[in-house]
Amino acid sequence: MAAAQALARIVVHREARRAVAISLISLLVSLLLVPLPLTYAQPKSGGELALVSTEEPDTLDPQKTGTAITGQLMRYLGDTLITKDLKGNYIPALARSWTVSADGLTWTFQLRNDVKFHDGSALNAQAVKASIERALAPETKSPIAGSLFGPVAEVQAAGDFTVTIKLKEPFAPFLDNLTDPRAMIVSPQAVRDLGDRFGRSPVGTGPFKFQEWRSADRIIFARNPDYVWAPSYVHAGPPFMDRIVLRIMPESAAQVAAFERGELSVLAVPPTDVRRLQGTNKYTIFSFLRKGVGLFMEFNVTKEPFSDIRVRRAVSHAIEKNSVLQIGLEGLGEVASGPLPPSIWGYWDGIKEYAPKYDPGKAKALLAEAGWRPGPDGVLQKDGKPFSFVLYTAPIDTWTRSAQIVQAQLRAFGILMEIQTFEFGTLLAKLKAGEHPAEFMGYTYTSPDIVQLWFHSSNIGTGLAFSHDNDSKLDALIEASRRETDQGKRLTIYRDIQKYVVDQVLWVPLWTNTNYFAVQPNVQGAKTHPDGFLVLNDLWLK
Amino acid sequence: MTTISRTPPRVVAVPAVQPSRTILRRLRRRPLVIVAFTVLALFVILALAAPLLAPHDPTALIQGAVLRPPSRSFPLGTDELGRDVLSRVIHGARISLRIGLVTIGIALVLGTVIGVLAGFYGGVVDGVLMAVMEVLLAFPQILLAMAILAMLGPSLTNAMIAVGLSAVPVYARTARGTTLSVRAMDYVEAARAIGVGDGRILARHVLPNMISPVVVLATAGVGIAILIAAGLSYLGLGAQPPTPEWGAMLSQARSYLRNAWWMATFPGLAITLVVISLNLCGDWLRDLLDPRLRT
Amino acid sequence: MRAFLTRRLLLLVPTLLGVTLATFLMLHLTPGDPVTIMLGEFASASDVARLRSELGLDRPIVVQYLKFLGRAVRGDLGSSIRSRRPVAEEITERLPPTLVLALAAQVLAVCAGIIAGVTAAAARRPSVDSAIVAVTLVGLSMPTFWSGLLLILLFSLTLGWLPITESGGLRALILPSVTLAAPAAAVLARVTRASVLEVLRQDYVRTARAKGVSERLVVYRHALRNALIPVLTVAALQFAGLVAGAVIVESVFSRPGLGRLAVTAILSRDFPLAQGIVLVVASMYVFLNVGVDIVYGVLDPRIRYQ
Repeated sequence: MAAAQALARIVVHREARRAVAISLISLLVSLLLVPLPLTYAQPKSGGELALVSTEEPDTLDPQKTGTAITGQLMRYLGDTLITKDLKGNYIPALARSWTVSADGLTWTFQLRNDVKFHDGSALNAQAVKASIERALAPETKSPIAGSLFGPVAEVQAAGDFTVTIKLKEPFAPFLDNLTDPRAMIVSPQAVRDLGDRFGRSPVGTGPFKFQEWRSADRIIFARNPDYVWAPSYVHAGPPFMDRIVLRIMPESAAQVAAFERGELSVLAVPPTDVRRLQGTNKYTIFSFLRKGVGLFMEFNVTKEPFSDIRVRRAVSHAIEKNSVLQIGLEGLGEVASGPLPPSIWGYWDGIKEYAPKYDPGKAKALLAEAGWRPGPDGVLQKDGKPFSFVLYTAPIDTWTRSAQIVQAQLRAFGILMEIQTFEFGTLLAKLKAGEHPAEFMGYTYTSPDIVQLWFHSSNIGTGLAFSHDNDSKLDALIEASRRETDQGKRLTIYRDIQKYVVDQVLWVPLWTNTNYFAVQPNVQGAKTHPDGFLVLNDLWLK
Repeated sequence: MTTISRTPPRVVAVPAVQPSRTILRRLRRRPLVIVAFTVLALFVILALAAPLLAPHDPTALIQGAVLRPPSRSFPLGTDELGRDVLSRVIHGARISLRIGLVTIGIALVLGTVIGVLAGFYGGVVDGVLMAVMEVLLAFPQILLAMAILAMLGPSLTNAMIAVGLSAVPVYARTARGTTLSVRAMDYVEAARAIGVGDGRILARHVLPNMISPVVVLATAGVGIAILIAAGLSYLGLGAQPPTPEWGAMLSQARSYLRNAWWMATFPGLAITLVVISLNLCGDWLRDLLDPRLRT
Repeated sequence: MRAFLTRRLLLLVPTLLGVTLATFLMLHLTPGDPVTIMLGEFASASDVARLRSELGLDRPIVVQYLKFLGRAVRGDLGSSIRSRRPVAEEITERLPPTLVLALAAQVLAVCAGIIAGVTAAAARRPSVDSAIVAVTLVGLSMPTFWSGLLLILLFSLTLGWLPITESGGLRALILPSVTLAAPAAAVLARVTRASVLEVLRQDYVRTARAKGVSERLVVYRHALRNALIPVLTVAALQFAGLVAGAVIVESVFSRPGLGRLAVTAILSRDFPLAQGIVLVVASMYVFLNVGVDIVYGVLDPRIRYQ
């Protein structure tokens, strides 16, 4: 500690001496202004960062994954053509520069020529072409990655390090989507060699490379010593830490206990423990509103009883969201109204007023109108059948709690809701297949183009269109939002989409949580990216 | 743990009825057993009269009463959703009673039928039935229950069926053993000699005389069944929310160990008390009916 | 002796066949169409057809069983529906932590059980005996998912002495193995107590006593050696039960292992995975059984000729 402080002082001293006009006073001031001497300490290499996840990834293939945790991990394992800096500006990554034709259809990327995949093969135009084409190929059945690139007509390797992507029509979210971790470039050679096993031993170009995946236990990434192509918002060269270890621990209570014992470096704090950990003053705690709707109830509009829009609307009037927020999430977030949260560009502020509100009278009237009448036991009935349905959900504490509150609230209207919990991967498979009447879901994303994944009919069965709603009007709106390059007009279209989704009651948005990350005191240089993840390149361990 | 006994139970012909005065006298020497019976009786009363005794609806969320420690208005506190823990524990007794009755019902009936048929008819019937039972005995009971649950799908009803079925082989083996010894008795031979039909012999002579060891097994079995069923619920394979099953309540309390000790304490206490009492009564009954097994 | 060994090992064959048959039939005795259950009722026809032929469901049942058996013998247990990985691979990955836990619990249970049982049997004061019997009763009756939580609450959260997650190495094994060992130790204590008491009633013990051998020596030299045979039998047979019991303890302590894999398999209706786990644990149980029988036969010649 003392040595580090001395070192810090020397560093400051030297820097100060370099200044031309230097007075004793300014030196003193500069010394006083150093807020924490330790921030000036030299970063140290080595060590292991222990992260934790509640869910286990379905696969580590960025192009085949549907789970959020894989998306987070791909930030460390892979690089995208371009990326965003800490202010949200687009900056070069694998592509050192890019241009777009006047009609917005032809995008040309000049690649770096010094990049190698973890398997040693070189990243060149052919590799980028192969990677993108794999994401787009129908047999990849990509839940997310395939949609990111938009209406691609053709990917060309125009030179060794020049890639041209031709679009069928203008695609407004294109640049932003290219920064999504799932748009990372994967090694075509590894894909070829590993086949189905690629998802258990992925190969990218990122600051960390895959080392080991012990099922239900941990995933280990090791430092990529060759990493000299870091984007400009972090230091050049490989990351400081030797390893990152992602522990898989389904129970949040165990996660908190392990963190407090120092077994974990960073913790996404569960709502139950936020105030207590803040109170200890031992940890640095970052917080920001989740980029995405934390929890919504989604209806499968192809199945009884929610094929009837009156029933869906009735449910949206029967749920009192504030109790769900207060009890399910300990109030650590805000009530959600539409498909986009305030933390994503394109959010329309009027949605709060526009969305249906808790209104028992309306709910009852709508249910009666749809033919559901109270039976002798108080349960609604129609044609002799009781109003009961199964809500599919994942074993996430805040979801389970919220589900039980919604269950009790609906019970008051004579609606029986049964809760079925599935492991996340299984849940996604079931939702794609469409066997659910309704489910609980949440998402994290960086741009409003997420509505395409949730609502465009082309994503039924493969993507995230779990409402299974085949609605040409909604499709047309979404397509328009993707074509429109004028930001002002795009905002209007997104407003219309938000209103339309609310009108159709495809979702009952419940809440968007505030994310809390607690970091151990020995973790230095931790910073959060505006896209809602922890930047690890500059992080080091004291 | 009963599945592990290797040697076939030492079966003796047991006098079917004990003079009740002897039972009472013996009971007086075992005060703990009296306590156990009292505890069980209390829980049965709780179970039967749950709706009358519970101060709240076990699934009702009480406004503004989240994670309240035990107090006068909520003697056992409230859970993370504002439900009254006392009411949930009381209704949990109802569920555990049902689990006990259903599982042991299944095991007792199926086990006895299989065991008696095998023991009485012998030959091929015996060979086939017992071969199947022997194979099933190769599975630890909780594994067998989980295998059956894998087939039926997770739910409380299925968990009860699975636990019941998984106990059948043990009952069948015991039933067969006692049936064999009863079949060799003079009165069975005599009945057969005078031409009494099989059905009548089974109903009149075999069943009444072979049943007590099986019943003893059942008494201890209820405790095991309740433990396994609660364990399955704890794993999320049995009771689903908001059912106030004790194992499920413990599972839900995991996240609140530090903040709300009462959520894990009372359901855990309830289940332990019931199982201890059942084991005490089971031991005592076994000693009573089969003095040679006394330990 | 050789005849006994041969007979016992030959008996393995029908038992193992029975176990594979029972495991195989899991899929066929399932109410409803297993493929529909696994893939969901709205799965695409091509997926359904693919899985059906992958599982061989389109062939006669006898052929299916023989195929299943043939593959199982070669260590091929099919592929998990959920992860698309070979079931054998998933199981080999997850078996070691479970075995370590079960072994640790076994050692603890044997030590604690025998010490408690002998102490109770040899106790001069009935209060000591009663106290031990009472403790074993509690041990038997307390669900591991409660005792585990109480241990976490006391030693990890309140006192902060012991880690609760797997990364703590050997120290992290203490709480889970104690939790898992408690009911097994209680059973062993009861068996030991009964067995020692029975041996103490035997003639040779009475003779030793009459000869003026000290009571300590009687118990520890003469009685214990003979009394321990049934105790060790029970202990060995408990092992597979401990492996199965690890399901719950692993869940309480968030440990990776076969138990949690089994729960996942059931929750996601992943039949090949569930079958694989059931087959592996049951086979272990069968082999242990035979092993115990053989050891027993070696120790106690009377058994061989029964």
